[in-house]
Amino acid sequence: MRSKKTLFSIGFFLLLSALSLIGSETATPSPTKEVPVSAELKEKFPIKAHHAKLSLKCTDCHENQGDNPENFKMIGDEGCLSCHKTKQYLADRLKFMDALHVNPHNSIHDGPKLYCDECHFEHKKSDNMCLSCHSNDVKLWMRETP
Amino acid sequence: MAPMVAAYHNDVHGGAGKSGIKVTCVTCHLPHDNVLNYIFTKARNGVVEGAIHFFGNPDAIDWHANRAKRDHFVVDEGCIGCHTNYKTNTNISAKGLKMHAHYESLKNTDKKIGCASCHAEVGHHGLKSMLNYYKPEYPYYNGKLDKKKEEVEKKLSETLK
Repeated sequence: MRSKKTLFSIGFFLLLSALSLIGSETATPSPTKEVPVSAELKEKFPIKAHHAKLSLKCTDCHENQGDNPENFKMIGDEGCLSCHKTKQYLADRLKFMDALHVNPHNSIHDGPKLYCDECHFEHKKSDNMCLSCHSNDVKLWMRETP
Repeated sequence: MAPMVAAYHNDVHGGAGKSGIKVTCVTCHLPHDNVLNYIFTKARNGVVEGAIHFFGNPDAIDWHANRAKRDHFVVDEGCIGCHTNYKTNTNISAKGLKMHAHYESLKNTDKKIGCASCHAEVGHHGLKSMLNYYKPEYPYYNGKLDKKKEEVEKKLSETLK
């Protein structure tokens, strides 16, 4: 009788362990085909150092755009913000600049509403729009636009 | 350490969240792989920091620049110890889950990244601003953020009472 009970509890334990395995499979990443990055491609479409450091792939930003880099389209604000949260969040990260009204993500002219690519470019040098008027001051207020 | 502590208290990990949970400093900043490594790192940090405090010049430390080394002083096991389901949690966006899978794929390679590589101010909400209130990155702000610093100090002394 006792051995039956032991056998039953062992069986129950094994069953539970087997069940727990079912849910443990990790989510599979999206099935987009990866683009092999050649030296030539790297030169043509260089990416920013902070993104390169994370080993980001073309299709991490250019989602569902096929696998030919020549046909990739701009990802727009929505694409950037899929990682960088919201414009308000980005503005809040530079809150100390608000005290002197020089926060580029929350300027007195535009608030937190500018398009990302008004200043930031991934595959070429970024261009700080503030400079178009405040050409002498911007370098005192902030670093070069990443 | 005041700006780091103040930013910590403003973070969900420092009691500012709905649940009021507070994660201790060592949860994220000391290794938990084995107890000997934990004790050794804690002891080494104690000696080094003590030496800098008494014989060096703590005011000369460039905390802004040190943030670039955050992968070195934030241990991922600390994060994952609570966020166990970071690969499957359905409250995380599709992009977030994709990036967490990316993190996983780099784990045992020379391109390894850490949680803090992307989650730049995690544990210390508004850290960049807080550091600037205490010691501005650019001379232009010198003396102009002192009022903010006073506010922070006042709030901090009330919190730590």
